[in-house]
Amino acid sequence: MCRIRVEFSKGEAVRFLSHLDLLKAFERAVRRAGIPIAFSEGFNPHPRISFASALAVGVTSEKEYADIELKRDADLRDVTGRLSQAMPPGIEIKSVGAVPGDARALMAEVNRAAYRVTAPVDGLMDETELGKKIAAFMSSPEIIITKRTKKGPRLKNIRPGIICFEGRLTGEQVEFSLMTVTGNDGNVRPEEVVSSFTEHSGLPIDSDSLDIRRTALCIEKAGRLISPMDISRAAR
Amino acid sequence: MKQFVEKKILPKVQKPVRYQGNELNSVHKDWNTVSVRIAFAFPDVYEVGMSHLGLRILYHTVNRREDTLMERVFAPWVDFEEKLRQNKLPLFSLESYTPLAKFDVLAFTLQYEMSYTNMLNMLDLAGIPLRSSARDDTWPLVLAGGPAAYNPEPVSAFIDAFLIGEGEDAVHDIIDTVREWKQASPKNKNSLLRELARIPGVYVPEFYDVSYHTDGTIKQVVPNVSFTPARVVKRVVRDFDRVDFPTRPIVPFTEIVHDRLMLEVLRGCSRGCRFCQAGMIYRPVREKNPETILQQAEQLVKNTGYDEISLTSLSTSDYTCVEGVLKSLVDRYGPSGVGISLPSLRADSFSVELAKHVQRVRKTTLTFAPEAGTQRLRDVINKGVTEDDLMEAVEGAFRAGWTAVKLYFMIGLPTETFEDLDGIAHLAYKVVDLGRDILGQRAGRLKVTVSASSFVPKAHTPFQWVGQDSIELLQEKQQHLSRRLKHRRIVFNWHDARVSFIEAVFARGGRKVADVLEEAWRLGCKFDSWTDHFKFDKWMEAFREVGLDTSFYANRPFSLDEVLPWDHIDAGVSREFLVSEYGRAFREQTTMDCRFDRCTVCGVCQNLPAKLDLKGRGVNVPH
Repeated sequence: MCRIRVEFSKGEAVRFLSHLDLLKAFERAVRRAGIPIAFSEGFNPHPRISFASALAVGVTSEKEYADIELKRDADLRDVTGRLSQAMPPGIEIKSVGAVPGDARALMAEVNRAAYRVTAPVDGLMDETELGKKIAAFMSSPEIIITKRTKKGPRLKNIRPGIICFEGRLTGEQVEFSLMTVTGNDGNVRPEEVVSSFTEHSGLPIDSDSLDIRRTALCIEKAGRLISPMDISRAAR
Repeated sequence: MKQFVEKKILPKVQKPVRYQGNELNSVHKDWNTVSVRIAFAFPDVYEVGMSHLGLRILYHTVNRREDTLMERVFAPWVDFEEKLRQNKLPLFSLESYTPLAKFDVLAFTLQYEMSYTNMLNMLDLAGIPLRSSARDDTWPLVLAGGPAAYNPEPVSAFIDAFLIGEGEDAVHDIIDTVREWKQASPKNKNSLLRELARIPGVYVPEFYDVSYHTDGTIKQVVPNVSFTPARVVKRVVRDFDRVDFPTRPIVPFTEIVHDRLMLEVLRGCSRGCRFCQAGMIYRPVREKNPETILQQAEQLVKNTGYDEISLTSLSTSDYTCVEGVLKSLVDRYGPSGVGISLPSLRADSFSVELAKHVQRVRKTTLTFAPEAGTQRLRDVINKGVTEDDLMEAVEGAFRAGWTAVKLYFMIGLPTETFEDLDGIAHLAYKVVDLGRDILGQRAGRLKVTVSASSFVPKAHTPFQWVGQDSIELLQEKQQHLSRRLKHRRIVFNWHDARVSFIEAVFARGGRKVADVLEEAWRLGCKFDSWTDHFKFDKWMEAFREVGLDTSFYANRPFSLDEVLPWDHIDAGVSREFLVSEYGRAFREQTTMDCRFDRCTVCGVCQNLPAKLDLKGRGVNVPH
């Protein structure tokens, strides 16, 4: 048995796939590609694929990760080629690497997500003002949002989960770059950051029409950011 | 438009992948390289429509032609419809986001009567005039087919031409005709309809006149032109084994109702249940060769990556080669995690044995359809299943590890009494007792679901003359059963009798009910088969507005001498056979399946260019 790690992108064509849809698309592509995937034990065997982090419906991503367990060793170049060919348009395989047997699960490791968010601006705004507002926003000790849950509204402080947050104007739009925590360190969603910023700053940003792209998922370890594909370092 | 929809609409609606049309194996052709462009319209949501094999077959068959393209469109969910209307956007096809009005042909499939309002809504959303008479040749030709088209009259005002019967061959005749017509000049819609009417199986309503007696019954339906037949005979595929079958089907991104490969192993059923329209209109029984099935299975798995193959038909355990085919498929695909499933099981032990072999995963529930609670009533409807068959089947299921069974019944069947209803309760309790005995310690998981639908008389069946029970009587019967079935191991479900009533009106209605349909749609009716959307009061208002008596269509027994609204449609099964079966029903006489006994002379093999075609010897012959 061996495990491989796949880095892939989720493009415009498949942006509206849910996490479950994406999982199904992967399972089927793996079967079409004829890759010897391993199955879970038990009455209802499932193909062994696990993703680093769920991506919300409507969000595209430059870098996503999945671990696939195989029944037997396979040539990585061959697997890469076959998977690439079998993927539906919109999912692109970037690279494939072997994962050492003792490596922890992807989901347990990945704890940082970076995003680029663009939003239409309906009004006047200049870059200096934007910069000042962002600095003010980031210097708040806490940023409270109201989350709607099944048990009713719940308050949540998202400030500790925002690692960095920058913005610039591009024509009629504002483009934010941000990094937030994900996985075991909690989860702050990019739209939560942008809409609370909009509210906080009073700037004329249409936070109802966000275009969100995940630009990276990584592992923060002792102050350093490591790519999940840097498996030997990530595993240490 | 595509960009606007993707940026502004899709992020705001539920399940946006329904509207994207870029699934694996979807076909995207260049509009400029083809001469005929067809939109296949399914008047229900994506997940329902994509589960329909007929769509898959025609999409494949048509797109194989170089000169034609077929794209898909489904009924948009209410949130998407609202966005289209707000933004004044027309309904478009999924593949190329082309407004429906730009197609040469818009082809609806009519799977059930309760989708008719969705069909009108889709025409309206596309900006296409609803009535055929209001459309000239600048609008797409609006076609319809499918089982409900066997009584085309209720929707004949909206449809230019119907295809009666199977589409695999006939669709080519229709495309050829449209293509030639497009090249001709001068041309008009009438010249196209005249050419279409010459194609066997095509019914053009405007070439037929209906006249009425003073009591509202039909005097006659006759052609008003010289070139159409008095009766339109259904199309049927002669060589089912070799007919085109899609082995590179679209793989939806989102979960659909039947989310598995569909591999049709036989077509038609001659068991002869007297209420069953499918059992009459899809005759004769034609089977596929086992080799063909194995080859198609291989292609299907390779081209889609699905992990389940469903062997579909009206009754797969009747396939003469079923055991060998199942064994080969299980041996071949079991190790790679691809399961085989059987969609519907006859209530007999043979079928349960089959299910045991294929169920890779012991699903918790097994479903059987005894349809009626007493032997007397099962003889009336010619459901060749006895209480012993059912009990053996259920016993086999419990012994094999299933802990839940679902039993389907129909209420309101002709001659039904409250004794027959008590028979349903009796069966349910017998199954509970048996389950307790067999399951022992696991009896805590035992669950018996009893599901009761209401009988709807359908065209071209021996019960087409039978009136439906009133809504009140059906509800009383439901209440009676509900009281009888109060038990912690039994779950009782029933269908809304008011929906079945509207369904009966459109199943047996003639041309006059078209006005009611249009009025109901104007009053806001759509998605009528969705419980949350069915608006009975609006339907009743529509009937009142138009001034039609609902019971005339739904509840009135039709006389055997009466001209029926669909008498000019010939499904192959002869009137003599239907009359004879109607008589035998009331005498409680059963009729054997011609696969196991002598020919019943139903008319199909006598009148149509197709024959009963079995590939093996009968395997599940009743004693």
